[in-house]
Amino acid sequence: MIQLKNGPIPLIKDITCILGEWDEYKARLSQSLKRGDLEVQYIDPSTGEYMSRKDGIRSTYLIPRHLERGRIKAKDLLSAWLKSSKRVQEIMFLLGIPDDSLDDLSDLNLVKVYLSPLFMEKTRFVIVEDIFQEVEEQERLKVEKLLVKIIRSRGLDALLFVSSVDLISPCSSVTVMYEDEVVERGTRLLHPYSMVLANSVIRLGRKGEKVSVVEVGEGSMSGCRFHDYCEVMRRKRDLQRLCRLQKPPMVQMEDAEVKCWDYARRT
Amino acid sequence: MLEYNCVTVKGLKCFSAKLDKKSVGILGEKDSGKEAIIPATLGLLDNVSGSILLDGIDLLKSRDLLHKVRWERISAVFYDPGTMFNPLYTVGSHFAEIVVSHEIGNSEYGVEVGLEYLKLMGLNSDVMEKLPYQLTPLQLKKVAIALAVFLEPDYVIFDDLEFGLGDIGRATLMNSIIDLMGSVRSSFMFLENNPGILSRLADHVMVLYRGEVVEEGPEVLQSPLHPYTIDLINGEIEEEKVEGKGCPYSGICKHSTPKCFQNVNWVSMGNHRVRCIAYACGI
Repeated sequence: MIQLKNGPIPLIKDITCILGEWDEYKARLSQSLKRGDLEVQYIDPSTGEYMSRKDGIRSTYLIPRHLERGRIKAKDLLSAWLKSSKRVQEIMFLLGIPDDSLDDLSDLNLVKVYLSPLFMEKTRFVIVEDIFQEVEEQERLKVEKLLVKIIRSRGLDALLFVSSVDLISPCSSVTVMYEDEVVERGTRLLHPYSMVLANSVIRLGRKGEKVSVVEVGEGSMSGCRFHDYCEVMRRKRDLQRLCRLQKPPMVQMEDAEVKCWDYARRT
Repeated sequence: MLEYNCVTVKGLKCFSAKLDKKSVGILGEKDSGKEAIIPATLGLLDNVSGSILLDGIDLLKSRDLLHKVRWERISAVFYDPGTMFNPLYTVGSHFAEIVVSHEIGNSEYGVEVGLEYLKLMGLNSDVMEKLPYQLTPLQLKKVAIALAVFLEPDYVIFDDLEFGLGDIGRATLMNSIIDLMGSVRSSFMFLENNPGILSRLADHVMVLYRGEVVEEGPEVLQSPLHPYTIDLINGEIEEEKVEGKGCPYSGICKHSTPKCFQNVNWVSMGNHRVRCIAYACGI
């Protein structure tokens, strides 16, 4: 487990997910977690013992959003990472990675190469940036299934950044972040931003049928961060002044927490 | 009319299609061969056999026409729009350069017309002054589309609309393209791996597997017949791609029988065509 003192999430345990479009804020968060820039406490998920900051950082593996390809063969790259040819052979056999150059690998096999260091003895924590956007539609769920299988079988604690609601089912906890602000905790998807994310999944439809979604850009510095794109605020006149000028509080809605004036007023 | 007659190139086997007034969608995974369609059409590949007829003129044999054909008659949006831009020039310069190099007008004209198409895609005019790296992936994709359509070519081919975009980005982009399709006279071809996007953009869908078309028709996504199309829509494609004899999907098809290893002919059911022995035998 990783306990964060002043982070957007209090702890990273099992499979903790941050749902939201990938942006520079999330990139910064993931990088600072990897570098150990944040005030955190590492607890070994297998023994429950406290770990030093140095050991914590060394046990944290980051899967970057952009998986670099190249002419290097999968086996050569893994040998450099794992430093044991026997281990490399075992992992390649286990995951079914062909010994082709990274340029020639399918998206799924490329992901498998980058997942291989999760089998390293020292790995305890994994941060997975939103790799799913660079994987083909058909392989996204397969990538997630494989990732979850490895995380569970190795007993790791993971932080997953996902931008699609289709991918949150294996998460033990979900935090919805719009830019650097937490707008919701839980899987109920109550916040207008969460609803935009939920509505933006494109299913089969009719020719010329649009998806009911607004283009989301940079957030506002005053009031609710999301108010410029909020359909709920647009529909409810009495919310406009509040949403534009005052930051909404986080309110409890049964098993979820949401930062929205529409819910804050109801409670 | 843009007509592909048994076009064969690395990765694509005897591809035939017609693009006229209606939009065509090519559904296929990575390495299905759809990647070769744009380079083959724009004359960027060698060793292409068959013919690509633009109003009866074979583009494969008339390479001297290609300069006039590109952008003015046929244009494309590549899967990674970053590759369409010179990183040292502003967006506006790209519009100007195309107009000037094709001797259609001066650079002011290019920027003026380009601006209208940027607006059509929901972008602000300040984008014109920006360098490609200053744009978000969604903005870059929209600019690439504006660049491909601003001369209103007869045919525009889109490769993988969703590459590098999040769910919100791709949904808003798809909505913008639906608006665009109602505003320009060009015909569109979409090379996609997302059935949801194609169902909303294409009148006629062709399904490609390992370089071969296995099914086509206007209702392919709503009523798929070929096992590959069904598996693709349901997200149940096997990881291992074993090429089968006869039907290209026979190597991993759940319903495969020895008959599938023979040459499988097309079976027509109204305007829906499928290459699967199950329908040929009436199973």
